[in-house]
Amino acid sequence: MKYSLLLVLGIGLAFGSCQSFLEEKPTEKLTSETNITSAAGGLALATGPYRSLRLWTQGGDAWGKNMAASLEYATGKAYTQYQASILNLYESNALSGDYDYFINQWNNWYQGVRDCNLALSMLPNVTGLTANQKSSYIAEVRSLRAFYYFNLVRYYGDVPYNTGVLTDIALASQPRSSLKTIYDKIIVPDLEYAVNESTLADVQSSDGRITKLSARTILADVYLTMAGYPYQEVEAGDTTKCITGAWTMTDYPVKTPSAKAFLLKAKTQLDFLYGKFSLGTYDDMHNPAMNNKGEAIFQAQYLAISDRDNGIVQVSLPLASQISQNDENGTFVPSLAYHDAYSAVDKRVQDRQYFFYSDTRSTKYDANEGPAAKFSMPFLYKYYDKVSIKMGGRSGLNWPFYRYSEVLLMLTEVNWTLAQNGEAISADDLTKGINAIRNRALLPAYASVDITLKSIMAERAYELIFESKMLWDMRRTRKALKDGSGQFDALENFVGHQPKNFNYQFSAKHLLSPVSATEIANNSVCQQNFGWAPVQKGK
Amino acid sequence: MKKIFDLLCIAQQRWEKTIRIMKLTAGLILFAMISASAVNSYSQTARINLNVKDATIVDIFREIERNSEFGFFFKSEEMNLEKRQSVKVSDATIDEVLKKVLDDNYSYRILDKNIVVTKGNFEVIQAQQSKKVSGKVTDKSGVSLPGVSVVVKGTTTGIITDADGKFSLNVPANATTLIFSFVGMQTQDIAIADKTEVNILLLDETTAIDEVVAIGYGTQKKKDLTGSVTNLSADKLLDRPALNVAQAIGGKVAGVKIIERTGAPGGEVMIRVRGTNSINSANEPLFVVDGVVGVKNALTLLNPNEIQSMDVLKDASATAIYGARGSNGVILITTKRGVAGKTQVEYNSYVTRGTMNRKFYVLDAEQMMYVTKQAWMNVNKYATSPNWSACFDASILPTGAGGKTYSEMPYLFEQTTQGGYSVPLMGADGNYYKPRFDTNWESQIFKPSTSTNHQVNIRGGNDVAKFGAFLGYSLEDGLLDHSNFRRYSGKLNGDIKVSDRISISTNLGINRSKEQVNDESFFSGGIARAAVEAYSILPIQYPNDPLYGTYAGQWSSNADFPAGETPHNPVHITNDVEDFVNRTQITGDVTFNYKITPELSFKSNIAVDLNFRKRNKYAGRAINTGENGSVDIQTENTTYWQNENYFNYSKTMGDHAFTGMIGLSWSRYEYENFQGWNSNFFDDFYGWHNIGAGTATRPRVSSWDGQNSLNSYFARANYTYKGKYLFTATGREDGSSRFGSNSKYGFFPSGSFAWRVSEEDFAKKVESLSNLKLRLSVGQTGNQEIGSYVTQTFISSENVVMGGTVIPGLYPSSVGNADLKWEKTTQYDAGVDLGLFKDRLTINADYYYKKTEDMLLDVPLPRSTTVGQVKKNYGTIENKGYELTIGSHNVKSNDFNWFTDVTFSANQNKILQLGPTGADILRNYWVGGANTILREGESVASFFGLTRLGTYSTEEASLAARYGFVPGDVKYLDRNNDGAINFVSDGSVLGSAFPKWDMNVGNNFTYKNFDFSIDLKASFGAKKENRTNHSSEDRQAMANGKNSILNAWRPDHQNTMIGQVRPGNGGAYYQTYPDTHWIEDASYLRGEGMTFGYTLPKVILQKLDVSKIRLYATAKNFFVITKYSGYDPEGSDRDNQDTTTPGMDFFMYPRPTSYTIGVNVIF
Repeated sequence: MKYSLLLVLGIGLAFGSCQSFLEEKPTEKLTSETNITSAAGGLALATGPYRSLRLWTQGGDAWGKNMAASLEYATGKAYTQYQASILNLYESNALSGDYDYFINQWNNWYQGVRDCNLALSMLPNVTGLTANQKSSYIAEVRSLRAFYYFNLVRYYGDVPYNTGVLTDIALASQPRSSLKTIYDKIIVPDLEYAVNESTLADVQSSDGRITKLSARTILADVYLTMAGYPYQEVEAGDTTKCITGAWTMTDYPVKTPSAKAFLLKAKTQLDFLYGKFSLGTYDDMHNPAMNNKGEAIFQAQYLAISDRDNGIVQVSLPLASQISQNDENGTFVPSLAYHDAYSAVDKRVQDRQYFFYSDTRSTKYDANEGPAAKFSMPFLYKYYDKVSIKMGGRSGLNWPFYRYSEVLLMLTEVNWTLAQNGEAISADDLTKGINAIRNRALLPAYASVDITLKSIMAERAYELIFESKMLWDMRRTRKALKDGSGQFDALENFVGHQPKNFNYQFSAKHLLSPVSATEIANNSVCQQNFGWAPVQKGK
Repeated sequence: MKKIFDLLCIAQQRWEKTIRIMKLTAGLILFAMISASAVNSYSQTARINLNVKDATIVDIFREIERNSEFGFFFKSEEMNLEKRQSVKVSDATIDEVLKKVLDDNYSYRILDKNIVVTKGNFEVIQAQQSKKVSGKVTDKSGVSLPGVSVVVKGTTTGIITDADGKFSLNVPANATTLIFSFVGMQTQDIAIADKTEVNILLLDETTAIDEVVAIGYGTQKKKDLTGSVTNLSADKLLDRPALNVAQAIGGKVAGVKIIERTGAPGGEVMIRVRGTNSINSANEPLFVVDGVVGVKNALTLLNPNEIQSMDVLKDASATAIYGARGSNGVILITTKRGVAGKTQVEYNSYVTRGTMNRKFYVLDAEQMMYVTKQAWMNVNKYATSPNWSACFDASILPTGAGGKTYSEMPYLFEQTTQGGYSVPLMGADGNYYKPRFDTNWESQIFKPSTSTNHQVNIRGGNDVAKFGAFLGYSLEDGLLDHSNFRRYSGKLNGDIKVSDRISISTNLGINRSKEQVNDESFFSGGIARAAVEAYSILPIQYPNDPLYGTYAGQWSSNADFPAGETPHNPVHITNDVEDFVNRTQITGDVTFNYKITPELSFKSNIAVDLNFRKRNKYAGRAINTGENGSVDIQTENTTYWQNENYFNYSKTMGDHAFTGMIGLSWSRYEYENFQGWNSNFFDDFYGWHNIGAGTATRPRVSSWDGQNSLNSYFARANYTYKGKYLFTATGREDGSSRFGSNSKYGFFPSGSFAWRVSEEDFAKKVESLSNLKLRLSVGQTGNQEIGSYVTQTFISSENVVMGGTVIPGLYPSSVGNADLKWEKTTQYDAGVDLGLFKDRLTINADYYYKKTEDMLLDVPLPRSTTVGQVKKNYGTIENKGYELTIGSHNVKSNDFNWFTDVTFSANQNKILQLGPTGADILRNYWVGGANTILREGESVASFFGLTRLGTYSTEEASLAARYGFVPGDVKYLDRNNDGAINFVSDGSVLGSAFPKWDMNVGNNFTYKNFDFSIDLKASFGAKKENRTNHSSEDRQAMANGKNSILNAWRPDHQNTMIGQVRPGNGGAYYQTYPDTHWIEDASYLRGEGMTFGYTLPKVILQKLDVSKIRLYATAKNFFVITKYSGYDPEGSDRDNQDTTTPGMDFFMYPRPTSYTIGVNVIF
């Protein structure tokens, strides 16, 4: 008896106190308790927020799906060969917030926001950083947060306001804030900090990190967008329109003092940017060697390895055409009518500029690389990463968020819009941007009288085809380009416009996209946008 | 009931000792012990030390039994318990001791180790004898039984059978009946009449209430149990060949559901005890092997030949002693150990032939060409876009510009005459063609398998030390080429008596397995999918003939017929992929037993369970063109150790019997993982053997590790009044590192009561009633099976690409919850155990109700502010059900016996409350949407999807148009009638993946040396999702498919579930969603096993000097009757091993029908 008691006692002592025996000390991950103080740690904090950018070209839950495709299909100017991508549901207005095109975008962009919030909460305490480093890292992260929010408000309208790091899960459900609040309190201050206060340098980014030039570009786009819709209609008073769908304004440009003020601010940035980059060739678009070079301003960064590669290359090839060593999905395809709206002499529609019309079979199928079957329609050549396609392997081609072409086109649009608002603008200021684009496309230059909203929007459509721009253009101007032959037939009101492939006309509902169904399900105070399912049932 | 001898204590305890004594051994000691084994007559050599004070004669007997191997037999009412004496002897023989302690009123006889004590004079009784009866006692397999008590009914005259099972007894002239009894066997009354020779067969008393079962931290007589425990002995476990524990117990325990999830060798198994308690935490029961708690992979890797017995603890009274790990039931495994006496060597071996018993019916070459051609003719009808024209039509249809046509594919098509082939296939040259080949891929990759098994058990020892050595080798060959599983297992154990009070037991087991995996591919669905979807017009390899041009001698591929997707040739994959999983498991323990007083003992053990796993995979250059060969190597090391210390106390005072146990334990589990990946090999030579030979731009490496700990305090008390009223209370306080800082410790109590009605006087009058017990229990258990560190808020690192290189980026990756605590299950159980006709018919029935609260749920959170979920105690699930076990000895005779065993279980599972908003949780997203749903009021294993009504007929053109469809398209129910088919809002619950009930009926016949058994298994009400309908039926002409496609919509055949054929690759839309057409009834009746055995007769065995030889032939899974159309109504494919929803089948690995011949030899 004596011995056994001693034994138990001995064992008890050997293990010391039970509390420390049960303590959890994770070894493979940092926790919120961790103090990050080194400069390298500061860099890692400032880098995490970039990770969501690559998701721009990633897929959904089935073969051939692609997030970027959803931003094009909604315009009515896209086509999919592989119907199981569900993209064709756009054509019959059969989508809802239950689809990954709305769930994943919501999740990806908010993931970016949360990553930024963490970095912003921790960066000020990183003692290993110099004041200059700290300022530029914070500027990078704030610019990224602005960019994520900019996408959120353009896609969904009002969204939950989140700028902190959640510590109490009881506060996880937040109602949507007015998009005006998001612009005024987050997007604009974040970018203005980067442009006006930070130590960021005014240089071209060589590695994808935000520089002051890229922050200026985003800010110019933000101002231009705020001078349009829906910001201007919300600013006019009613902040419930996302829910009620009571959108009524259709005139563009919007002629309010507020719009003009934003345009003037945009002009300041665009004038600064003008001449800071130069246009290259169309081949640069799909040449990974030109990543972060030439006219690149802000790009999603990729590497030719799995999980870090560009997903757009594979989805933009003709379905099962056997031209590539990899899969070919045919789900990122401009509609034939969109293609036909280019002038026949436009360089961009010449074979292997923006489009291609035939190809050789991959060695995987044909050792002699004989001609592939005739394509049934033109396919996008803009993202034709030849090494990846023909040699196999992943694509490390970057995806363009902003490039100099767009700066030039924004410059023309802002100047033209200001002129409509009564500002005196020189002819050169009106045309220099757009003509640089036309010049490269071997199209005749415009005189200042040729500059109209339609000619600007058409040029954006030609130049920025399938760069996730047209949906935003339609929503901020509430205008849509009517397909035609060799030209766009008209620029008509968005509401009432019926894309060729669609069996319905756009209505107020289509000015916004449906809020993610999982957000609606898990955030009981988050309301759905007008006309979309699923709606909040709430408890 | 007349009982001549009270087979009190020791015989009983000795039995317990043999099988239960706590263990321990290191290999070397063992072999030293063998030589120590004694053969001299025990009564002459044994020396006794005795020191008792104020003891009754029975106390003295017990003390002698405790200190020796002697066992006493006496009639308790004859013993004078008034008299107390103090005795002190040392180094005395048994004769000397007995002479000292027994007065003249008693006499005794010593039969080897058995001592019969009787009042009066043996000689006198014997003088009355007038006749000699002799004979032999054997068990049902023909092995002679020593130590069987043979007694003349109505007298105290008796004898014990000798080492050969023989006896010879003088009986009084008037004696009519002999009673044969032996622990663990059914007692038999045999009329002797004028016979002088009586040879009898004793049968196992498998349902006898005197059986001893293992409970947590101890053993208990079955009659004293208050909880719900099912015991399986070794012979029950291995009544048909079983490679692993899962196969061995399948269908044999009511309330335990085993689903062999794939037919792959060494395949995944799902086991549920009384339903599914948890959504995000584990649902597997806790395995305790020889006291080692939570042994890994026990279900699939443990060698069932090493198991002596298995006890399944089901209700809270039984499981609560395992506290936080008891919620899902506990399975206690006791392995075989050494025995004292003659060294026993046993050899078992068998060979198994496995064959396919069901198949997929795929389109053959002619049907495939028909479907392909029809599909392309519909391309313009279903490729909706106005700017779309049929692409690639030329390659398929006879006319058109560019691309290949039949005439340009001489390697696949040969010329024929117009009308020479049922499908007119015209080439660009205007000639007609037909396919050269017609391959059935399924029969090319699934082939009959041959498996073998060898097992050697060596057991021996003496009263001081016993040892056991067990060696096993198994090769399980799979039906799929290049898939197999090898297991080498070795185990040594020993029991050493250090002194009268101290003993040590040891175990050391090593288990090594090597699994070759081939159930995979480079697209989902694995290789079985490739067998269905590889075009039947392709050869496996093109003949080496110039006719085939560049294709000559090459593997074929769907790409050769450019009309669809390009999955790989399954035979090619089989040849170009190497994938091995090697596992090594080392389990050992040392247990120290200390008998402090006769009532109080102490036990302490230290145990380890070490696991090493390494996966080596290489996919060849030709298969993996994008990567030019790739290697994936994964390693996992886990270490578990425990130290448990507890006291057992036992005391009987008159009508009151009390036993108690109290203890404490520590344990820790650590894991370390490492993975490496590389690609771009210039040659396949290196395979996975030299990962550094690859030249990938960025080879990947990763590693992770962690640990968790448990600290526990536990106690149990049993109280019995008059052997009729039984009470048990248990409690366990568990502290786990996995929980939040605010709730590290949890307490889990249980209480139970049983009433042995059959011990009441009124019940004893009922002659036919041999046992009746009513049981009630209630208790709470926990579930802690969540990953380590989930309570913490993590900041993770990801390699972010920046400017052509990667740099680390930090991001928030989890939401912490310091309040996280146990998932708690409260269980109520009411049971009845009934034995009739001397237990020839036994019935055990239980009803239980389980409610799991504070579930460790991944509570969904808004993505706008969080990563989307947090582990939180939320939600409630209930499980309730019935269990019934019936054992019947239908025909009982010396030559012929017939037994029937029935188990029946019915469990109902329901989610009572889910997440804070009660919102549905959609899960298992796949093509078309979520395939399963968690919804309040429904089972956790609920399928979700649309309702397929059929197809739109031509009369329904306008209805179809409302949804943007045309006649020929699949028609779904628009549940909310909003004019659009939305998967979520028009979907509904389509049934549960778990059955309403399961039943197993086993019949066992023995006739002389022959035995025959047949087991049938039935399962009713489960649904299974046949996902193959997605890619092989809904989706047409993109690959080969099932021949059910021939039933597709046609203008002249509109009443069908299958949409008109169309080419998905031609831009035609098609609809494919999880729906009612994918969900099939998976009820079944299965021929689980059938065995025919023959035991060689004694005369032959004696010549061979062998104790036993049994030869047998077994058929397993020999028929399945089911409506399910896939390979098997149970199981899933490799990629769908969801923990709550079995039965998602995207080309599962088929389960074989197997035929085995085997032999058991005991030397």
